[in-house]
Amino acid sequence: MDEQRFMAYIRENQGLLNKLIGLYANDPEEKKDLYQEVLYQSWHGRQSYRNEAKFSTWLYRVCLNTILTHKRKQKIVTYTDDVEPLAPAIQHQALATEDSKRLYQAIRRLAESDRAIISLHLDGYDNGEIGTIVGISTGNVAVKIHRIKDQLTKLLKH
Amino acid sequence: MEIEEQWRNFEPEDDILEELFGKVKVSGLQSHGVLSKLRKNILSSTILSLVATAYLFWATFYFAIWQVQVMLAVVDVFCIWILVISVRLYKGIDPQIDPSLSLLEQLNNTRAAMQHYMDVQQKVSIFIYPLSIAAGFLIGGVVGAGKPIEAFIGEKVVIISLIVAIVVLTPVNYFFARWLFKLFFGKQLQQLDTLIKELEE
Repeated sequence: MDEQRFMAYIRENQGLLNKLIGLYANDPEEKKDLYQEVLYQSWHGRQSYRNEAKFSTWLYRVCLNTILTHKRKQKIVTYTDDVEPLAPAIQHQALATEDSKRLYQAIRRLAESDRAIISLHLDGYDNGEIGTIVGISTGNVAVKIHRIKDQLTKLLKH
Repeated sequence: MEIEEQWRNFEPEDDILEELFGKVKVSGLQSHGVLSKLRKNILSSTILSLVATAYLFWATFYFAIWQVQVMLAVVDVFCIWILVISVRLYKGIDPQIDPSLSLLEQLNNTRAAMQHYMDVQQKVSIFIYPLSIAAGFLIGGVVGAGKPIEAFIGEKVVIISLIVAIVVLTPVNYFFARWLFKLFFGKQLQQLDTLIKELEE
């Protein structure tokens, strides 16, 4: 795979990278570091990508393995709620976006391994696939997802 | 709205990463991951050890005092042993993330590589430093005092000083090596341990 094609694949999956890196980075500098490391690792590991699999699944694995083995700053994450008052016409859509933002912020409050598991689950991977990607049993994945969802419900109520 | 739907609806745009995407030349990137750092550290310390070993070999033949030569020869053997270990360690660390590994396997591999690196540093501090101290002490003493080796090591105070130097400096070096490792890699090791524990629970 040449560089141009590789970057085109990355472009298609930029949303995934933004989402995953944003879950773990504590500041803009760290975000850049993680992004460059993910690009480096995926570029140098591109031989292991087989065309029969989805590029996004392969990139997901590279991304999680890279981010979680990389040194990250340990900071308490603080969130601001600076949403402007909404115009009625766009209120429905904006509320949906606002809910999504709150969910994302709640996930950022979870333990690091839980963030990986729940993001995989929410992105539609089944428990067997999550178990393979993360390295734990399917039963354990189910238990963890149940617990994480409880935790998220509590966080979202506040 | 279900959280699955909320998640799918959320497509964060990130100006910082967008800007970086436009600028970055992926084939020119360097890794700043811990495994790359370890490899760089091992490479630089191996080069230094190689220089030190070459110097020690020269010194072994230069100082025609058999007691010093025996001491230096032992240090030479340990230096070569450490060099072999370092080269093996360097080759054994793959700085590449392996997507065929699960996250837990990747974390354990990284953890093991870091632990192996620390073990080698500790071996160096236990086996090389005391012998180097003793050899340096004898060379320095003989050259500085201008006395023959037999006369120099025949003095009780010299023997006591040598023992004290080894007894004091060896643990100091050992703990210094541990402290340095913790300073540079301690937090990351802790992060890895926490993650492994979380996943294995």
